[in-house]
Amino acid sequence: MKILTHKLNLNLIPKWIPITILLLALIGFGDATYLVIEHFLNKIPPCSIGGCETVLSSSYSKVFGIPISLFGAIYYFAIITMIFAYFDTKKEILLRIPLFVSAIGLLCSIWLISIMAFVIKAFCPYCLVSAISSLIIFAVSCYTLMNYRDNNLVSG
Amino acid sequence: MNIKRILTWGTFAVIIGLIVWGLIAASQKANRETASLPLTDEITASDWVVGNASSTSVLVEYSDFQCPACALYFPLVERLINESSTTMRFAYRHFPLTQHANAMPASQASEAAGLQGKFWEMYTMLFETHDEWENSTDVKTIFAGYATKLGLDMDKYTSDFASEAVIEKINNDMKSGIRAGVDSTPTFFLNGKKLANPQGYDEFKKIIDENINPQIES
Repeated sequence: MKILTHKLNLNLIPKWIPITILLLALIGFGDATYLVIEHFLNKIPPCSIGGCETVLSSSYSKVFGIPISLFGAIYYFAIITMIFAYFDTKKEILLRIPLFVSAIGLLCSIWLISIMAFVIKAFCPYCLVSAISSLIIFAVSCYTLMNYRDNNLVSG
Repeated sequence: MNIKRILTWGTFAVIIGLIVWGLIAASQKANRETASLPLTDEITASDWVVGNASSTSVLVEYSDFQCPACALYFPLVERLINESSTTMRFAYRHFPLTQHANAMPASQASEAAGLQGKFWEMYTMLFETHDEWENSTDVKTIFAGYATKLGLDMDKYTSDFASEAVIEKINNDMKSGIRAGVDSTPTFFLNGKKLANPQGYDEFKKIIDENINPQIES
């Protein structure tokens, strides 16, 4: 479990990595926030070719009465905030946390995609956009954690 | 706090603010306006129409009996017909979406009832009982039950239900919808102009009144 304890070597990490994660998180945030807004504006979702409303009005679209899109928006907001905090303070931990958290985002996305594919049998493009952005964030995170560890620094 | 720090967090606030503001604006705009193709397929004898035949205004709905949103609009449309039937006609056209396995059979049931002069009775029945059959795996039996309730000739109903003419009629409705850019249900056209789906009866009535009697506005 070296990956979990090793710090990142900030000197080696290219700038595109936090920027890419930030851009993807912004896309995910906008996407999820749009669904949250639609939900709280109480719009009657029309039934469209493709079946977005089947997904958004299904019982799987909420957890304890809270729309999943809100969790998604909070997730991406947290990542955006941490990346900005990293830009501000250059503290290694602020970059490492989002990298690990991205695994949770990916697992949730896989779970939701499975439900769409096998249970609801309809796909919502908004949910797919979020899933793709969390997948790429995860991929970039794995790449970073594997290639830019500082072998001399062990956290904790 | 130095300048760089202010800039970083200022950018953060501006970006987040712009995203949220932009999305709220977009969401509200989508509600008000809708750019689309006009509905060119005019009402013909094959359409199901209610209301004053001499009125020049016509509201056309493309709808899917299984669509929850269509079922939610059903009471609104009913009230609208009752309150505007002297000045406006209402036509129902089928737009059964593929993700709704029971939508096509429901359309078939309504058309089969229509061939015995009871389209609107079946239409009402299907929307009022929407929750009972929406996810059923044996809707044919359920719909046959409704047909019996409506006192239809069951032999004729059964053969009409599966007839090519009925299926072609439904497909023609769908095609006319696709020509007018319909991609979701319900979609309403007032005198050929697509309406943004109103949120609630009052908004719906207002849109209709403003379009039918422009003098009411002033």
